[in-house]
Amino acid sequence: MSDHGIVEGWALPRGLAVPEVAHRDLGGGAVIAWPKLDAVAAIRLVDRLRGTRDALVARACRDVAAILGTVGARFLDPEDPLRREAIDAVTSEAGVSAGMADRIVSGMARDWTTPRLLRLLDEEFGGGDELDGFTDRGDRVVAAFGDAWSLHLVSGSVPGVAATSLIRSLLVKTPVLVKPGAGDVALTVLFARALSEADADLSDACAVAYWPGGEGDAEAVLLARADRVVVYGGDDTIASVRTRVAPATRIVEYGHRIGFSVVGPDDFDADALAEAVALFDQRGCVTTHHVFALGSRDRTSTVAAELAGALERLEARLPRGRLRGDEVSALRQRLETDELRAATSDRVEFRGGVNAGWAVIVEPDPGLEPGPGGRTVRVVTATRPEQIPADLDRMRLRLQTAGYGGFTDPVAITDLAERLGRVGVTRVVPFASVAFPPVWWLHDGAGPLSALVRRVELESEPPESGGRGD
Amino acid sequence: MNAAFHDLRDALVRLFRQGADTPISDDDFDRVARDVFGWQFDSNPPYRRFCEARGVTPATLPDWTGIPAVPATAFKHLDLVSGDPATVERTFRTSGTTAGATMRGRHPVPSLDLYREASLPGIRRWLVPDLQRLPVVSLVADVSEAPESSLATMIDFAISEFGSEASASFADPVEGVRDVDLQRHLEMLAATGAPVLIAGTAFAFVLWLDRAAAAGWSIELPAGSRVMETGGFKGRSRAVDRSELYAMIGERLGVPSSRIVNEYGMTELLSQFWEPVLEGGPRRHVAAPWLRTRVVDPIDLSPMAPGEAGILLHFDLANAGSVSAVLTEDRGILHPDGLELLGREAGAEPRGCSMTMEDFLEANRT
Repeated sequence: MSDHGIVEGWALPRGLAVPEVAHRDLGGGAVIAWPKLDAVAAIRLVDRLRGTRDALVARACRDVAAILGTVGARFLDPEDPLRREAIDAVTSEAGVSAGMADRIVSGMARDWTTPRLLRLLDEEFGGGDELDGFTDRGDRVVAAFGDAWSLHLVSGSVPGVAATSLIRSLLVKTPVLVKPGAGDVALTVLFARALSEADADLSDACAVAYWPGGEGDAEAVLLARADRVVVYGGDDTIASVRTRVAPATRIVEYGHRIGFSVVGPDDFDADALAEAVALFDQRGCVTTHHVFALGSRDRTSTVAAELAGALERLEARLPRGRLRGDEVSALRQRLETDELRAATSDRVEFRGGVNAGWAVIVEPDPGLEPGPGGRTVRVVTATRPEQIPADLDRMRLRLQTAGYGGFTDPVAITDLAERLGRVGVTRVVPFASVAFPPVWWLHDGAGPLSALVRRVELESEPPESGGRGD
Repeated sequence: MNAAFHDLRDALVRLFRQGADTPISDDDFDRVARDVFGWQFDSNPPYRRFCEARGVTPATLPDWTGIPAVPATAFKHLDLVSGDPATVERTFRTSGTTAGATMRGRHPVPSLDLYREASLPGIRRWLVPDLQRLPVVSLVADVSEAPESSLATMIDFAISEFGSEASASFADPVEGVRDVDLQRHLEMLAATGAPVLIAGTAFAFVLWLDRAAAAGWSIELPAGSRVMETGGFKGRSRAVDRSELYAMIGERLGVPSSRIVNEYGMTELLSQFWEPVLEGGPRRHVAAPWLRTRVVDPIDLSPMAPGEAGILLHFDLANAGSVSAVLTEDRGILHPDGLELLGREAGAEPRGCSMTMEDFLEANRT
């Protein structure tokens, strides 16, 4: 970030000139300078990335992890000016409070360290040998290969998601162009530039460039040429990508998700639940928007009151960030309507408000639906766990993270997870783990590195007579 | 009808009958607005609690601009009636092209008379200032078929007050408009040489004139004819911008854009905005003096400086039977010669990867 609050929206391999620059105002004083790539520049960039692949494949993936981990650790080091720069950039660009930016950078960078990245390789590839060559797994000999290059379109992300996506690609030795979402540009660029200081050759295999989605000539050219496209975004973005890639292009989609939590019958940690709602200012795919309180209607009121108290305490500690005018406007429409509903019906309770920085609404209709954001959470009654799947059903293709707390009986947790998993949930975790999934999480139900490779099997003996193919 | 509301309604009707071009002084507006607010505060318990939560009562109110506004969205979820719900004469509903019936706005109206009296002066001043009566050709469903449509009801008022015997609706529930009957009717009217008013939604005009163009049909309506168009294209299969629509109207009907009047109305308000183009005014929106609009900062609802964009906060005295102060998400700029409507803020990038209400509505569009 420059002195003038302008985020520089690119980090390119050596030898590539910065093209013409345009500016985009994100509101609230944050401006992104973005490189206007034309079709020729885009093709040149792709060629440059592809040219790094052989050298990248020749490296050991654990060495790549170690270098990435060294860079990642800088974002955790209180003595390193890079950490301060990252926190300032996230505060300004994502419009979150400084305290929240600190939590976000710490929470994301925790997973960018060497031990965590090595564990990711362990979880998905038993150490990563397959990424370095053919490996005898006993029953078969396999290797895992990335692509000639891939395009990661990370639209509408929270800070840190695009850098994580970049890391994933380099770990599987695929050169990558990452387009971060507005709000996540500065952190991604800082990571890529720090990587170039640590290992210029490795950093030549990645490029970061922001452009407003759908603008310019580059996007169509890149989509048509990518071996694999990883896309984060809403329905419109994903639908648009599907229509613009070549039929053989592999697509990995991370659509928008809606999160919820379940409070069991026992004591629960309301402060942890408040963090599940409020971290990332409720913009993460993992974020809780809806709480099922198991038990009676009275229990629901108690849970709502405790959660409201916790959100109020959290607002003092990690205040909600700046909202744009259109965001406040939409939030006010929704919350003041809920306030009026509460004034009309005893079945609706309303706490908080637009200016409080949070809102808790006890809602008679238990069905899950998206909220207005701004740390708004609806609390509904589930008299029995068996009831919850029906209330999720309408959103079953949008589910991902479910937080839980208030259960002392581990069997009850397993039983709940079984029910939720059957509907569509892919992650059932304690409230305190909701906001920051570990780097080895099953992202939307699958290993994030496995989604980026082809596994190649090598058979050394011909099949015995009478085998397949006869 | 409650006696207090009866008296209030009569006072408002007297005010409205002074016409849309008789100004109401700030003091007079404040006095009447306080009376209206007093009624709404006393007779609408949820609204009263909403005001009390903001520390506002009729006794503590500094001036009418301090009257708490309800969000327009609330009309989708609540019957915001002031007074006995049993006295409601008609409930208007928005057309609701997205998210199905449960999300449609509804506006309970205890006195249809008040709607009539609030609507007619604006129609007289900005749409029919020059003639006693003329043929009103409507592309909107007849009110007998669409009693819950505030637009159909308003056009019914217009026909009864300003329409000649040749007035009729040519709406069709499937095709939008009965082209053949409509075109034959217009040809008959054109032969008389007397001016005509055609009123409809922008979408109905596009549907009809697209087909008329394909069929090669056009007409030169008599001088003095005019068009009233209203509404947008949200959720529709074909959207055109207004300049394209006006070019179509000019080409197919022979009505120049200087005689095409945009009406801007909301189901949530019983008064309307009009473009004063027939009197040579600019393409701004103006309203009768009993509807006042403030442009406010979306963050804290403080007034924006003149000429700066903000969101629109309406205060409509004609809404006496529901809630008069209505906050929208629509943006606009207040100019000395009227309101510039900007619509919702578009193009702002959604932040985060959490599913939004917009995603949800889009996926569930009917």
